[in-house]
This record gives sequence, C-alpha cells and structure tokens, in this order.
Amino acid sequence: MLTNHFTLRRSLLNFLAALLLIPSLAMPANALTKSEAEKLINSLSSDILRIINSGRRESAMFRDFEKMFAKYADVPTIARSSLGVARRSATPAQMRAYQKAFAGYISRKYGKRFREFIGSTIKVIKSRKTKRGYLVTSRVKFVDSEPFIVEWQVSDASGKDKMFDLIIEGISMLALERTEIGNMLDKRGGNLDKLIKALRKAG
Amino acid sequence: MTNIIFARFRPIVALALFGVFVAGCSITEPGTINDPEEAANRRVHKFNKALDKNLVKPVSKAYGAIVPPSADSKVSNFASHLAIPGEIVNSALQFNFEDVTINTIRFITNTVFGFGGFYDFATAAGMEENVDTDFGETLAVWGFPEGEYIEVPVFGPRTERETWGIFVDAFLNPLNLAGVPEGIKKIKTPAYIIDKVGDRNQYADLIDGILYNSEDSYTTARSIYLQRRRFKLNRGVNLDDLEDPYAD
Repeated sequence: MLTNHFTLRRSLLNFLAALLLIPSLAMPANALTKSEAEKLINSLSSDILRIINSGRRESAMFRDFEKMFAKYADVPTIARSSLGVARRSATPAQMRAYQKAFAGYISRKYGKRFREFIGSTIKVIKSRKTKRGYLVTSRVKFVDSEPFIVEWQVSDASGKDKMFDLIIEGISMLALERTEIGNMLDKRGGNLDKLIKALRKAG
Repeated sequence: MTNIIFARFRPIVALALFGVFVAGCSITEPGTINDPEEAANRRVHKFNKALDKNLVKPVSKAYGAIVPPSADSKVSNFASHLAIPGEIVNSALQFNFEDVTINTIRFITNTVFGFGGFYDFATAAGMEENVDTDFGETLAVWGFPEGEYIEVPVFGPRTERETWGIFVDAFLNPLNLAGVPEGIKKIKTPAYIIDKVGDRNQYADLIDGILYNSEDSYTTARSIYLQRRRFKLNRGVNLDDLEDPYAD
C-alpha cells in the first residue's frame, strides 16, 4: 500500500514534470521563422513609407515614428545596450526615464534619416540565419539615384518577434548609438540624469 | 626630364612604399577600433572640420544652388567613369575577373553610348552595377591587415591600409599612361574634386549631422567610417560582427 502510494506520487510528479517540459519542447516549433522575420520587416517598411509620404508636419511624423518603433522594435533592449556599462549603476527609475527619452531621441534622429527614403521602394532581397534570429536584407531603390542596402536584425529573444538593430550600408544603429550615448554621458561627467535631460531634446 | 626619370623609377618607388607599409602594419581584430594615434588624429579632425566649415560646405552649398541636379549627375557619372580603368586594374590584381568583365563592359558601353561617360547608359540599360574598388581592397584581398585608423588631412577618415592604397592607386591608374589624350589627364583631378563637392551637397544633411550635430564628431565619424569600409570590403555585413545586445 505504502509502495503503491509512493509510486503513484512519483508518477504524478513525473507527469507534472512532463507537463512543465512540454512548453520548452514545443519552443522550437514556435521560434521565429524566416518568413515571419521577413513579414515583420515588410510591414515595418510599408509603415515607414506610409509615414514619410503622409505629408504630415515634422513633429507629427516623429510621434508616428515613435509609435512605430514601439510596435516593431525591442526598444528596452536597444536602449539598455546603447547605455553600455553605465546601466549597471542606474536605478530602475532612471532606466525607465532613460528608455523613454531614448525612444523619443531615436525616433527623431532616425525619422529624419527615413525621410531620405521619400520616393523610394523598399524590397526584401534576402535573409540569413543569425545567432539570435534573422538578418533581413532590403534594398532601398530610387528612380534617379543609387540604391542602398538596409538590413534589420530580428529576434524573438524578448518574447515577441522584434527588430533590434538597423544597419544602413553596414552602419549599425546599435554600434553607433553606443558611441553617441557614451560621448553624451562623458561630456556630462557620467551624470545619467543630465544625459536623460539632454536626450529629451536631442536627435 | 624629371618626368621620365620619375616614370622609370616608379616601380621602385612603389615597391619601397610597399616595404614600409608591410613593416608598419599592425594586426587588428575584426570589429574592433585600432586608434593608437588618437591625439594626432583629433588634431587633423579639427583641421578637416574647419576646412569643411570655412570652405567645402559653403562652396558645395553655392554649387548646389547654381548647378541643377541633372548637370551634377553628369559630372558624377563622368568622374566615376574616369575611375573605372584603375578599378579594372585592381580587380585584376584581386584575381576577380568577373568584376574585370563587368567594369570593362561598362567602360566601353558608357564611352560609346554615354557620350564619353557623361551619361550612365549601362545602368539605364540594366547592366550590372559599377564595381567600386581600390588598391586598399586589393591589399585586403592579398591578406594585409587593416592597420591603424588614420584621419588624413583633406581626405578624412581612412584605414592605414587604405591610405597606402591612395598612393599606389595614383601610380596604377592607366589614364596616366602615355598615349592617353592630354585633355583626359588634365580633366581627371578637377572632375574628381567637383564630384566630391557635389557629393558634399547631396549628402549635406547626413554630413552636417555627423560633423555638427553629434557631441563628439571625431568618434562618430570614426565609427561610421570603419563600419562602412568593412561592409564594403566584405561586400556585405559580416555575420560574426553583428551586434548582440541580448548577450549582456
């Protein structure tokens, strides 16, 4: 009787353990696929073109870009990475304020860059598997000037399919912003609050 | 007379420069920044920035106001056209005969149907894009390391390898050979300069953003330049150099 009870309990435990294992076993099937990554970038590209061709005034466009970044990009990860080692000494409240200021800053800065895409078509030409997901390559084509290459890193590491780096002709937004933010922080004697204040106006 | 002597000793001069280069090159890990002469580079950067502010930027602005884009694109086509013979030599030195073929066909096509290179008939006809290469790339193909980061007066950011390439390219250009019409030899440099002025005007927002809107234009220019150069030589992004913000 005692053994039976024991066996029952053990099999119950095994059953529970198996239940816990199922989601992790099922993970690979749910992982980001090439077509999902490309779909995300196609949708993001058409949103960029829609915003820049909307003819709205600059400040309204920047707000649209900020919403767009929030929808498609892993903003918390991008913001954290751009801050470099300084994030280690930041308080949670400072991190939240920084992330918000950073989102506005990149929306203005890259929004301005995206306006150079006016009159272009953006087309995905290939995707390559990477450690974190996919690198989707698209070509921005113009009627009367040379085309250029924009690449997007896509991953589901945040729990959702998100873009986390934008690479224009080989120049990575993540790498560049780490330099930029590092410079801004250095100029303010490493004072994060001053950096946050400056970021709210920068871009 | 001096010209003849110079021409005779050209290969020796080139070889000597090459020796200096090989001895002077330091090895760099991909994806890193090798800038031991930062203090000196920053002084050159300050000079280049002042040059831009006081001369290049105002001139390019005036150029943009006077010259219509259609004329600017013809200058740009012509300057790219004159660069092709040198590029063909480099592609051959890189043993890249596909690129030799692409640029040879382009050069003949645009010389004949593009009125001496002022029109880019080849692109309009759907031919392969111009292969943009230089001796710096040839050195990379031959296995020479990138070397230090250098900000060159007037020319701006370069790698050590590319800087040596600039000198060698001047020797390698077939347009310098005897038999090439004097007119072409004379127009080469002005066409190059006017093309650069046009570029400064065309990319004004981008360049102003780097030089005048970033907090430290030196490091911004360095980061942008090195990433762009490595992208170009690799003919695309190197997957091993991709950013991974999830790792830390």
